Amino acid sequence: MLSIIGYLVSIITFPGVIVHEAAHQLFCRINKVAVLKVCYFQFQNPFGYLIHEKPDKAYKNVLIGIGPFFVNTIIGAIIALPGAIPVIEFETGNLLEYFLIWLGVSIAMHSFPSIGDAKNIWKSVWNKETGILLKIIATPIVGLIYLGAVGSILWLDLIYGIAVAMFVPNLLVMIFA
Amino acid sequence: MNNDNWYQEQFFNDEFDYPRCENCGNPKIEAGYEMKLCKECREKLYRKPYPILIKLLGVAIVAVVIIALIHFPSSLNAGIAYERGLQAESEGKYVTAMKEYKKVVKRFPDSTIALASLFVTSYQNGEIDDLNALYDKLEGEEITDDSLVDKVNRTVDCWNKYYYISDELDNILQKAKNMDNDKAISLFQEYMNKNPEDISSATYYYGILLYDIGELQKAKKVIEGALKSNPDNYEGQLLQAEIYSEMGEYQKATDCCNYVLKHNVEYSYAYDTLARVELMNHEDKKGLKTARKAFQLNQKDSGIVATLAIAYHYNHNTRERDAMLKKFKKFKDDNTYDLDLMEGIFSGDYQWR
Repeated sequence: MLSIIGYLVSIITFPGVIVHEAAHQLFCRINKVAVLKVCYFQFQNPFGYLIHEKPDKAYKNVLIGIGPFFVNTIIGAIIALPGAIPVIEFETGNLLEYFLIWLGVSIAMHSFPSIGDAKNIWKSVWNKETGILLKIIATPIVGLIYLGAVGSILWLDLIYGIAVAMFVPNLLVMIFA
Repeated sequence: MNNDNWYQEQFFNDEFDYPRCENCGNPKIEAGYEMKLCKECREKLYRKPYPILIKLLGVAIVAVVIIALIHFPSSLNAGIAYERGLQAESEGKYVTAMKEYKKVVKRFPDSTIALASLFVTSYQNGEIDDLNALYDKLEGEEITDDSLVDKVNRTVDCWNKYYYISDELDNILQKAKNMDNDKAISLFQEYMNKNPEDISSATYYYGILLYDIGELQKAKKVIEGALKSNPDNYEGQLLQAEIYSEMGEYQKATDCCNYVLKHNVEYSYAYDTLARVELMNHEDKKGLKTARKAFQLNQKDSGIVATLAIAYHYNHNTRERDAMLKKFKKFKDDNTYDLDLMEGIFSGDYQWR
């Protein structure tokens, strides 16, 4: 039952999947890592994927893996901004505002790197050639990614999406109130 | 082994398979990568363009966001107003809170949260005429905030308890205007015996009747009894203050006003009643200060304007007094009681205190 709900949620929030894969692609471009194949969205698990070559440096793998976290969060927050106060705070709004909230929350929800991303990061970081500093930094990141994946069963990704949508408006209200 | 020489030697070896770009076969591959690609192919692959559909969707979304951001400042202002309203409400400043919530309702007229907050603060400020319209909008709607639901329910209970007049009571009030005092009193008593559950509003109006006909001791007893079980009847507290004031019990009158102000520090009617108590007690400077405070909070009530005019009179400021009297006469609420009071005091024909 839960997997059916999860499947439906991924379909409904498909813009987030597209932006997630596009973010991976962007970070591949920044780090000059060849992209071999990209699927922005499909109606099966995984709902999107990107295949890239193994980078020449381990830190690039980390950046490519966690890139969507920043890109999805920022884009989700910006898109949700006009609709956040009417829809989330005052439970009212016009069609455009509801659309922006759906889009913004959908994008922000897919900020968390996938378990596939985590495995990728883990593999490249725990190579004998990788420096100790990167191992120290990347290990908790991988831990958090796994936590995020578990949390998504408890709708942590949705809660995160809504929190991202409300963060900037709430901050502005607190500053000026 | 010297790799450069070794590759050079192998170049002439037709059987040696030296590394080439996996994409184009170029032997000049970039070092350091597991995947063998030349610089040009790698660049082509990492610069893989986004599909045109993705680009078009991106442009459409940017356009939509820009259009929506035009309305963002007004939404933000409503959010700020609501936050200010909450802060004011927590400090007992219900007039300020109500003003802020009105701004929110103006921007979001269908927001149940905004309407509910305005409903609660309107009641706290005695704006009873607005409650019906607000209640009609709220009826049947779901409020997700549990604490706000509690506040609304408590407000509705108080509103019913202290302001709801049954048809029968309304009938008695209409008849009492043109009736002998004794008959009016017995009608009230009969109604209250028959309707003990309607004790709050009936008692309050009975108290008003007794006060109006000068039966101050009886009025005091009736209202004291009603307030013992319902001290949050703030109109009743202020009526009690007036009764105490008429009987020379100024400290008790002040205590009643302060009880109301403790709950709502911006209740203009409480300041108005307190000002009259102070003026009756010959505390003229204090009375003027309090009357000004009431006027600052509420310039739309003729009674408050009258109190300020009286305060100016007792402080020998005839210019301001006459300005207030002029302002009073512009009201269309037919407040003949205060008009007669002022004219009597100012001409010296009536000994108010």
